[in-house]
Amino acid sequence: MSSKRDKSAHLPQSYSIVTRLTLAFALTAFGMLTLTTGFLYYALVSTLHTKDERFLADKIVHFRDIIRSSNYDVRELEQEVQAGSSYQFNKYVVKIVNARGREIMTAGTNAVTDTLPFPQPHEVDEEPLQTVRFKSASGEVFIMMSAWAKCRDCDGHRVLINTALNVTVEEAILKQYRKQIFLVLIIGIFLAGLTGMAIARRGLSPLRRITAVIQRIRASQLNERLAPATWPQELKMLATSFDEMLDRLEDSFVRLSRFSTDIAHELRTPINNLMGETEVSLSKTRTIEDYQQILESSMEEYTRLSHMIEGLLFLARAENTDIKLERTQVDPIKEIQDVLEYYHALTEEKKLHVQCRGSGSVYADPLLLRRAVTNLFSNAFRYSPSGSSIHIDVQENDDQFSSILIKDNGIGIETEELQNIFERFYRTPGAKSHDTCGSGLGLAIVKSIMDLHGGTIEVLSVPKQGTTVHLRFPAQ
Amino acid sequence: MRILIVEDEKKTAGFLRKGLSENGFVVDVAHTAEDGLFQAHASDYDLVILDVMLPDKSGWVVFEEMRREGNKTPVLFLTARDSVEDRVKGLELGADDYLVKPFAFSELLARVRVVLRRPQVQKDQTIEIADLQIDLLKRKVKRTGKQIDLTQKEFVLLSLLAKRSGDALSRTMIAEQVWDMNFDSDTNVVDVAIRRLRSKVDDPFERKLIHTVRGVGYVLEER
Repeated sequence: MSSKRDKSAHLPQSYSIVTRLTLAFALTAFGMLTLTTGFLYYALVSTLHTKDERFLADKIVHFRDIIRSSNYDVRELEQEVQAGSSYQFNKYVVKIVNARGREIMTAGTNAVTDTLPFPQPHEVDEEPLQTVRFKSASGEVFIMMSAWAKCRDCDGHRVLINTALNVTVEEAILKQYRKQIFLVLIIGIFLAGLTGMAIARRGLSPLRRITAVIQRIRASQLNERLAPATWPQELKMLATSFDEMLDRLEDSFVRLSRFSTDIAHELRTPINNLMGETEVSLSKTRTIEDYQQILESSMEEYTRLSHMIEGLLFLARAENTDIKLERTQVDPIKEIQDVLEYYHALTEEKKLHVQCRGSGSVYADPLLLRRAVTNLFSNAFRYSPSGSSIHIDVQENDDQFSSILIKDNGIGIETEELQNIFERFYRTPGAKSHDTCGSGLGLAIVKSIMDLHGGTIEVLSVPKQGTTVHLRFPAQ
Repeated sequence: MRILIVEDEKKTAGFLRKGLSENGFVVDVAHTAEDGLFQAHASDYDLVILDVMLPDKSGWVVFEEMRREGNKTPVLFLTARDSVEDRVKGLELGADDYLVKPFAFSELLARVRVVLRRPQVQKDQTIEIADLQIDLLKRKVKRTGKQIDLTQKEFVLLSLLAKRSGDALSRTMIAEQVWDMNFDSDTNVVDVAIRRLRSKVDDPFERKLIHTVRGVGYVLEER
């Protein structure tokens, strides 16, 4: 379980959903804003650079043309420089040197040309495409481009044109732009986080409401329900399951409290008998026979109480699965024969015809199996008229389960009573009028024995015709 | 035979003392674990009947302390709490027996006799009570020399009563011993079986041997 938790959680589990959603929103916004602004910034920078480079390249082409024509004039060059110096807000400089490195002309608005490390092209006809960036000590930024120009009258027939463009302002603008992007990012993330939190809060508000409703529910108000129809789609499932759980809880609660009441009532009768009889008998002096009879009657009540306690304890333990099953392959026929032998004298007196058929084996705790069969047979015996018959059938149905069927022709059970017969202390009106010695725990015990074995019990009954009880034990 | 009862519940101790005394035992009672330990130490008993839930110490502790002192007196535990763990614990500690409240006094008496190894089963293969003769090996029953035919279960029932002649046996105990019904079941089965047994063993004869002990059960004895 812990490994599962490790895998699923980047965040500790205790972080609230609102926090998670807020973080998720902020992260998404950060990612998207970074991508967008990054792309825009990149596009701007590359546009500016291309423009600058193209400007310098154009200048060099111009100068080459001027220098190539034989009688070029320095002034003509300077004019050309001036014409371009107003290019946007940048300023550019030109320095022309001859083949030996002597300066022929320097023009432009910037006087730092001596310190600029111009690139050194090799070939005369080389295309002047290489630009070099340089940042001067004073913080000014230049891009530089150099190219040889053919010149018939010059030393070595060529001169070197060095051009530089001061892009400081451009850089400053870009820097400003970067700052703004950063600001936008921060504000964006913050806003996204806030929005995320608001949305999450709002989105989760039904959860808080459902919690409030659930908190209102106490043992005394188990009838409260969440009414699934009123909740958003996602919570409908939860509300439905919760309502179902409440149904089950309410049901067991009602049964539990009815059960406590029943116990109290069941105890009341024998204790009342004991108290009354003892009190009356003590009020006068009586003969020894009288005392004996009273004590005997008390003993009966004690025995009944003791049996009741034993049965209730058995049921309580079975419910907490506190009973250790010692299962083996049991021959049910043998167990049934033993039970029938126990009842032999009684069945004979009542002229009951008892028949046990079939074969098979049952994977069960022998003692509990015997107890279940005894309880069921005891019922069948008790509620059968004299001279009728009881059939017990054992079947081994494929590999899945084995069945024991006990069929009598007794008083039967009304259909509407069938759902209650497994309840503790429940006795059908028919059973109550028939005799008074049953405890009302027999079938509850059989049911719990079947539950312990993972089996089932099914009762089919037709009033005044008879009852069939079908026990089904799963195979090993 | 001397028996020490360590039981804080005065009524329980009272009826145990009364019942056991009437059955020929010399009985002392202690109401606390301390008193019980002291008495068990001071005099020599043949059996200690020890309640598990005592006010000052649990019966298990008393038992352990007794054994630590080298006291090897057999111990029979009484308890109202009958959980599987308790049973296992009692057996693990080496208790001689274990009885869950509520119990029938006849049951307790039987257990006491088992623990004290008082011979209940006659070593002979025949039991003779008055003019009744039971041959346990040949499974034959005679009265005044006349053969009586019994079914298998009737024979088991009669021999149980005869072996424990003089002791009142409860219906539950009879159901357990004869039919192996180890849980509460319809005990009127026992009444019917006894009635049938009587019709064969007692009815044809003047002298009755099987007697009803009202509210308790049955006893076979010469009266």
